[in-house]
Amino acid sequence: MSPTPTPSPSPSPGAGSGGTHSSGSHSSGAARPSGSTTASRTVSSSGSNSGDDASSTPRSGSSSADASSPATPTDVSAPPAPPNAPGPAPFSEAPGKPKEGQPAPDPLTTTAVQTALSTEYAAVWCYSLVEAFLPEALDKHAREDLTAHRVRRDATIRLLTDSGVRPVPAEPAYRTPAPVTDQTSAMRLVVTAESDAAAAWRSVLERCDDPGLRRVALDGLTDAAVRGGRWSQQLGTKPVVPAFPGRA
Amino acid sequence: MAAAAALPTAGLLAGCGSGEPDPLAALATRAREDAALIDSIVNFGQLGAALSTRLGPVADARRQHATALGVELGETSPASAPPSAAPAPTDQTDVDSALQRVRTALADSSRQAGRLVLTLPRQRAALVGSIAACCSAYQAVLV
Repeated sequence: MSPTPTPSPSPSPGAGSGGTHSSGSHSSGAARPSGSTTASRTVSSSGSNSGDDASSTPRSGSSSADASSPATPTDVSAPPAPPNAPGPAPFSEAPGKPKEGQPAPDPLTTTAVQTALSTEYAAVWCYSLVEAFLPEALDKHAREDLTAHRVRRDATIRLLTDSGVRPVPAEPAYRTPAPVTDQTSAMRLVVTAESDAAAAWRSVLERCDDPGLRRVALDGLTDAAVRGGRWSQQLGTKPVVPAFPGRA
Repeated sequence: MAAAAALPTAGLLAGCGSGEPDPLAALATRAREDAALIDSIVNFGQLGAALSTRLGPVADARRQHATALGVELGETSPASAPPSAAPAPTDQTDVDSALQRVRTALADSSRQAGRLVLTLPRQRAALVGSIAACCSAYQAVLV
């Protein structure tokens, strides 16, 4: 990350549209330089109470609404799952195929999946932010990647709710490791977001035994490594792909 | 294709080892084979010179995979089992076909590792998951 000393971020359309109120603190949170390392899934408490998704869509609204209204399901397509639903096969990917009727999800596993969900929220936010800084050809890839992260975010929310676990809500805004001011810093941000997602999904592999969840985690890790590799290639980073994606 | 590539390796190891072969052994062999394949391409005259910048890091990553797997396997010296020499590059007449060979090998390697991820102990699942992800990512960027 290049510590570009740019104190005043330009209010990009992608970053600004999510939070119309208290936009001052929101946009400064988006581009505040920090001394943290690239691996930090930096969460900022500043900003409005808008959704995780800087380009405000109905879906992101429903996702953030979960924080304030616990009884509301996080996704329209997800069935309402009470927190203490008895006996769903935890994290089993194949529906209707319960495995050995485990009584409750392993807390270690649950925490790891929640962390992975947080990185997916952050990735959605990052991709929404960088759109304004990318030329059309790259913006197309960014939009595809944004869609992929939204899909995984929603799938992860369903995975948790189906296991009787309340998904963590998205943060209203995230602190970037370096200011996003141009194409290069924008691409660096999404590389970081992918690296964070890879680490989180790898961590799920380290903390679960269920083959269904292993498959989900491997897909999350692999997709993040693929997307990160493509953006690294655009940036000219060497090596394009780390030998062990997601490993600290 | 993937099964055809993976099964003979497992069979060979089952024949020479004592008891059940460690499932990681086949992955380590496969990693060394991928590195050897890339070396054979990179060392192939002008074609190799043109590709070495792109393929060198892939071979390097695969060697790192072999080393990490070797540590898990308790190997004391690296690359104790030399890879079966990659066939001489006869059909590598152009960059595209050479890259396609590497992509195919990486896809097979990623599938082989991905299958194991589902059943390995946690720590190993993470290691092998990273290896699968690395192979898939290089497969995607080698275009």
